[in-house]
Amino acid sequence: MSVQVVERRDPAAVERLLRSLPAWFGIEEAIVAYVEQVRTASASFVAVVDDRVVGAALVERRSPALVELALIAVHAEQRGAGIGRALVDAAATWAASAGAAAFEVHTVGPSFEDDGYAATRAFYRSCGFLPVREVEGLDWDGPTLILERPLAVP
Amino acid sequence: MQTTAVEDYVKAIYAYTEWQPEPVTPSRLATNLGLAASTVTEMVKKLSAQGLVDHRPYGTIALTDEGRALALRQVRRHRLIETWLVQQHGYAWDEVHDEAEVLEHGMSDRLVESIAHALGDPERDPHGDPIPAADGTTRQPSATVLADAHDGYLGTVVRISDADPELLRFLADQGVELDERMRYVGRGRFTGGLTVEVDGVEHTVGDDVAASIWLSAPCQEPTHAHEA
Repeated sequence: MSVQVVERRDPAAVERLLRSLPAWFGIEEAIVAYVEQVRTASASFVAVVDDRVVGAALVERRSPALVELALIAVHAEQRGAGIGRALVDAAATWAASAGAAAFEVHTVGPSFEDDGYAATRAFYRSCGFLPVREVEGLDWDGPTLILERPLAVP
Repeated sequence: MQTTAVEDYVKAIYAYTEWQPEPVTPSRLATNLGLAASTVTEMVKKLSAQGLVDHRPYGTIALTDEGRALALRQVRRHRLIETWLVQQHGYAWDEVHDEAEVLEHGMSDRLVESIAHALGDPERDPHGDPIPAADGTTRQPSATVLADAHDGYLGTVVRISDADPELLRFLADQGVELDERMRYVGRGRFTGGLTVEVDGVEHTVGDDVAASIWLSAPCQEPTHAHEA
């Protein structure tokens, strides 16, 4: 199986991916907002296997120095096959070539117990993100963990 | 047997969405209970571990069926005790909340049901809040908060929030009671207050009052033919 990551805006595919992952994307308004964000994000990536979109990522340029990985999702049936890692690497490459020094991602902090997000944090760490700090009430009414992946200055 | 704190939390979570649609979050609950956010977060974690609430990542707090059943039981006790204190012990409606807060945790089911029976199984408390039945069913009256009423809205007062005893005393002094007909005249252009009419007398009230009084579905205008 070969994964190809391409820069493409595909809201319908993103919606299908998010709906396959109710343990992470179970809130209707959040799904609608993400699908909307596919059109407006600084860059949008999809991972394709055999002509099928199996994963997606969105990045947002937050400042000249900082790019955030705003969304990453891999279809429920395709997880664990390196698709997420390929998306993160493509997004990090985009961030570095855009001149950013740091690549950041937010997720649910470890002080909120949840098996799904424990797996998410482990995934980010395995992709080279380092936990920076936990903040209360940043993206939701609970703890957010901020992770950063340093980018090589070209 | 649940602890007093657990009973109070599920009751507060239930009451939060009883009269308004905004969902509960830990920080809203903390403001509501006058507690630190970290205290509430810890407690919500415990309630979640006990299967009484559902709190998902990025989500709001919701009672599970079990949590709702416990909340309704506690709400029934609280409101029955308030009704009992007003009807049989000469308490004013602004004096019953704190007393009921204590008593609701200590009474046996037998005594609570005996009080309900003696009162004729009332369906609402002195502030108009519905008293859930012993089987856990409850009937929510359809109502509009005065702050959302349109000019000229005429309804009967079906609920007055008991969150602020001073406000209850003020309203009692103004002669505002449950089942009273109230007309929302409009907002004064220069006074900043709202004008309401009760018994043919106009009163100007502030936003606190407007957010604390619920009116029934609009009433028919009385006509002279009916009065004759």
